[in-house]
Amino acid sequence: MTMNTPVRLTAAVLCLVLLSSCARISIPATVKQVSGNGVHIMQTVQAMATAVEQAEEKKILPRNQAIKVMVVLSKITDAGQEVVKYLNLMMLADSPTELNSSVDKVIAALDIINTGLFQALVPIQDETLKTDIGLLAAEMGRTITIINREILGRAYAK
Amino acid sequence: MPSREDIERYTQALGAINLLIPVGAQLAFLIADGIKSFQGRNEEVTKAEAQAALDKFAQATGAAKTQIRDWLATHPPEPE
Repeated sequence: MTMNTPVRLTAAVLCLVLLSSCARISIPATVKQVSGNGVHIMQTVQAMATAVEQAEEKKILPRNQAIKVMVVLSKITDAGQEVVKYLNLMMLADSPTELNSSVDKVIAALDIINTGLFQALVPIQDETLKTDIGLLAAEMGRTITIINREILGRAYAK
Repeated sequence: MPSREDIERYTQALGAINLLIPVGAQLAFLIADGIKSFQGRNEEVTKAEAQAALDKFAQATGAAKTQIRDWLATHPPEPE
């Protein structure tokens, strides 16, 4: 490798990064993609809630721990409703400022969901149960929210 | 023992790789998106389609919220 190759390679990658940041996505397409992903996230949350209910019923999970998990899951659904609200506002936005403000709020709500998906598992003390209840589900949900952030990042009005 | 020039060269190469790793994912996303848009280049998402998808998301969120709220309402905390 010559002395110039790493520099050339870095410059080429930077150009690609700039190009990708120019590749905008339409608002309806953004809303459709994020909404589709949102359905998967909420199905994940419901699956986690169902697993908590069943574990508590079978006395595997103490009631008070189950309540703590459910409270976090409830906050995730609240954040989900915020995402719905601001996706709606994105479609109604009349100006770039309005659009960008709504995109910011969707991203903020997604961050709450992202954090919540792992926080929901914290009160569970039994490691096997923690895995059964939703480590994989939380990871999937977290991956989807990261993807949503990438999609929304390209929806900003320039 | 590597020479000073070798060390500088390797340091520059590592610096470039350190930049490549985080943007690699973005590049993959761009390529995948490019392929998708090439495959469906005449397809545009209408506002009606977006609204329909958003309504499904709202429904799924509502269903999850109702399930959790109902469980919390019927399962009070136990004394520790």
